[in-house]
Amino acid sequence: MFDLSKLDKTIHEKGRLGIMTLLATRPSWNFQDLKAELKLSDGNLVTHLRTLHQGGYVAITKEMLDRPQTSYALTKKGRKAFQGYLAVLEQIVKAARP
Amino acid sequence: MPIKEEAEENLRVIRSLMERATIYRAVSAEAALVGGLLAIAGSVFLGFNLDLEEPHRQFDSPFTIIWGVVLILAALCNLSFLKRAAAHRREALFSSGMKLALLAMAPSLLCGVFFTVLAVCNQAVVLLPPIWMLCYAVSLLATSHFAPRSLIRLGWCFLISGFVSIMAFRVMQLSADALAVVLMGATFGGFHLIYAVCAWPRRNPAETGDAP
Repeated sequence: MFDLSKLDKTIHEKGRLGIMTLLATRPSWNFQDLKAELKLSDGNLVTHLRTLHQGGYVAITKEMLDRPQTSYALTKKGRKAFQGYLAVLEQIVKAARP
Repeated sequence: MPIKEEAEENLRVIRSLMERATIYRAVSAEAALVGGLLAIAGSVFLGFNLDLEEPHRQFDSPFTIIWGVVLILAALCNLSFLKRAAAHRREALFSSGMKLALLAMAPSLLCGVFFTVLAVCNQAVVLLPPIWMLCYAVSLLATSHFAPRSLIRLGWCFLISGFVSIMAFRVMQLSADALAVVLMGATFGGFHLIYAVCAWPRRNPAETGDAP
């Protein structure tokens, strides 16, 4: 039986997993693009991003371009945690193969 | 949900999100609009300024120069729009997507350059439209692993048109020069305008299924 405690609970939630996946594909994403891609409400997205930020997985940058813009990026810790989470998922799938 | 199914489902979600996020549009909709209008303008200019029924007219030089200018302007526009889009995504212009697209498109575009030089040297410029269509089609289709659907459809339209236009030279009653001018306007002009309309950025790109 697989030890579920190995799965990172911060990432192991649909919304947060989506955010971490997208952040892993580019140096940074702005709020509107994340919202459009994940089809999450503003409130949900803010809550998940806050959780990931508090866990040290996501860095937040606020800038004043033509209008105020907030962008999000994976931290080193976040990238490592995401890679670790992927490795655990792969182990689970492999272990379950006959 | 059992842990194995849950793990598989999560891996599927990750894969599909990553694939969507790494889609690269090598021809922006804005550049297609400008390029399409330039191509139509080029065709109209050639149509009005060359007496296509006159047998001893100068055709090769004006045709090559006009389409050379259209190509350079359209390429510069595309580069400028891609640069803007890359800045929006906070990526360098020569991102991994751009490099992948250039590598995929380079062989067929080089073929296009080779055949263009060959046709100009042999005074067979009139054969260039189908060759350009086919080379452009193959270059677009070479990006199909990471291109949005609309760009792949554009590639197929050019490929089919390239084949059909070769037949058209045998069947149509128009002179070969007139047909070359019409084909350029209809395909490089018309197809790019249609593509621009279909691929024009929406407010919510995820809703079009054709993002980003």
